[in-house]
Amino acid sequence: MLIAGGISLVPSRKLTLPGSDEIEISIFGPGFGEALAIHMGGGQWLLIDSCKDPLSDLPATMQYLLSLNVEVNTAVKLIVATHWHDDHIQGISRILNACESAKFVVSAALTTNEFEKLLSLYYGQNLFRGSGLDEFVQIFTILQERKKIKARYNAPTWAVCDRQIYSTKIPIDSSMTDIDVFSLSPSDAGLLSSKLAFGKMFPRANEYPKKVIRFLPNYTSVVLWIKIGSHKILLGADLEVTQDPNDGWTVILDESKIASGGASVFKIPHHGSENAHHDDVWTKLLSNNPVAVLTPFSRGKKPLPSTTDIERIVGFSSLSYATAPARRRLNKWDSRPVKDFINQSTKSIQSINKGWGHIRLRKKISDRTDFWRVELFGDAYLLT
Amino acid sequence: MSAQNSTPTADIDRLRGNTYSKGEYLPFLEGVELFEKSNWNSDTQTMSTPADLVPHEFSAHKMLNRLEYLPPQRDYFKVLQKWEGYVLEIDNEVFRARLIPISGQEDIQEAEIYLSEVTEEDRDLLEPGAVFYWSIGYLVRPSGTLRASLIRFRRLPAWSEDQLYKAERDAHRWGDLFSAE
Repeated sequence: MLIAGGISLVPSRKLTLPGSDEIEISIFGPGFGEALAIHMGGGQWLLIDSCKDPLSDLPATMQYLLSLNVEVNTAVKLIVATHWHDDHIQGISRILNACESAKFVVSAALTTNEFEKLLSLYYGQNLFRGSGLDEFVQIFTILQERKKIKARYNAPTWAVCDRQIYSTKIPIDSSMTDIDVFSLSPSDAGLLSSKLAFGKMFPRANEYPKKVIRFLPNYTSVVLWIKIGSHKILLGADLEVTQDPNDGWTVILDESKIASGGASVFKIPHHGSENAHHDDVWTKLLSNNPVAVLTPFSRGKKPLPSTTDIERIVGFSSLSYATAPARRRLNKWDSRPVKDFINQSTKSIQSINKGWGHIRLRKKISDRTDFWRVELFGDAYLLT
Repeated sequence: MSAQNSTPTADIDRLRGNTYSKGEYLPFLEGVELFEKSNWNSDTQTMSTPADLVPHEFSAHKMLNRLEYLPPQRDYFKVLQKWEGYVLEIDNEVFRARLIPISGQEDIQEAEIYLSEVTEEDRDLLEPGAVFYWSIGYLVRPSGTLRASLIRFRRLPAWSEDQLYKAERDAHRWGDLFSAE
């Protein structure tokens, strides 16, 4: 049994570790949430964002790595929180707690004084459960405790456009292979927009405390560009296309010196929504017919991806997958009074945490083709 | 409520072999149950308790309902489903909210709830981010049981100047973590 950060699991006999010379990209997603685990080779893992398995309530990537019998406290080298929205960071503080040697990376937008003031205000308040800000308060507490033991302190890194956040070499077939991870965002304009938005969230005196809820559009999200040998991977987080040419995907397309094109795997941004789509991302940054993956977003007025979104995505790649359908289900209430009152009091009510899927891509680092072995688990499916 | 386990032995000793009149108030009995083996005399309106009374003979409401020397039973709410919710946005006739289950069915829900469900007293609290509790169940009263649904918004003390000042003053602590020094 492996125990890490208070999570204990018996390794699964059905799951097999990727080989030391293999890349794995695993994306997990229920109807609400997203997380990725990437084996970069040589037993080194990169974890991006976090969501919880709806059955176990454990962070999905931690549960997966422990099932694979991975020693997470040494094997996980990097944990990236792409942004602070609760569908991307649920349980990430537990991951950080378990992966003691990992470097923690956050959007530089979350190092602005405006966000720090919000964190400081809510620190120790324990006002509201389950907000993205709560999770950052937990992270803050863990890092603060670790800093007291200076010898073991691994200071976090902030992500901005075109910044190298990890670099190493691993031996593959008697030669050394480079592994490089870069952040492509947020841009300077994105940082400024975030400062303004966080500033507006800071309450005034005599206002009642409220839960800090998300704001859109998403200025702060960290897009990652990963190079492992000859392979390139683009992970779009939730970055959107904004009207400001200095922000969002437009500035990456226009100014990035890192994103050189030819990525054979694409994590589609923002659950496949139209406002995160830019034709040039597909034509300039990706290879022909890349493997494209997304997680759905089953809450809000309009679940994502919509039928139109799916048609558009499939038009760019026939190898597009989702971890679960973007459906919502009507509930079956066991109790008659509950059912009656809900019918009387609501115009609509839907369960948002349905579905759970895992898409796993693997290939040998030495395989220079764009072919990936794709495995689908749970509700994951090929978009058509 | 289980008086068998919670009533102090000393209180049982005080009851053994005594007779009580209707209307008599026994403070040490508040919230506990009376004896199944107690004898109610409807002519004299008294209750006598046997001398060999033992704790496991405590039982519920038979005697409570007949004797009136105990304080009246309080109303209570038997919850069938309870959520903690927070407001996402407000439209003309509904507010959209996320509902996180506290008891009952365990799925997280997203609902459009009619504004008319919010009481007048809570209307000023209705805004995006406001936290509320929604309970559905039975309101149990001595006079009868009613089905009930109750939405109440959480009232927290407003932010004070002092809290906001301290947050601004201490904001650098997060930034300090990005340095290994």
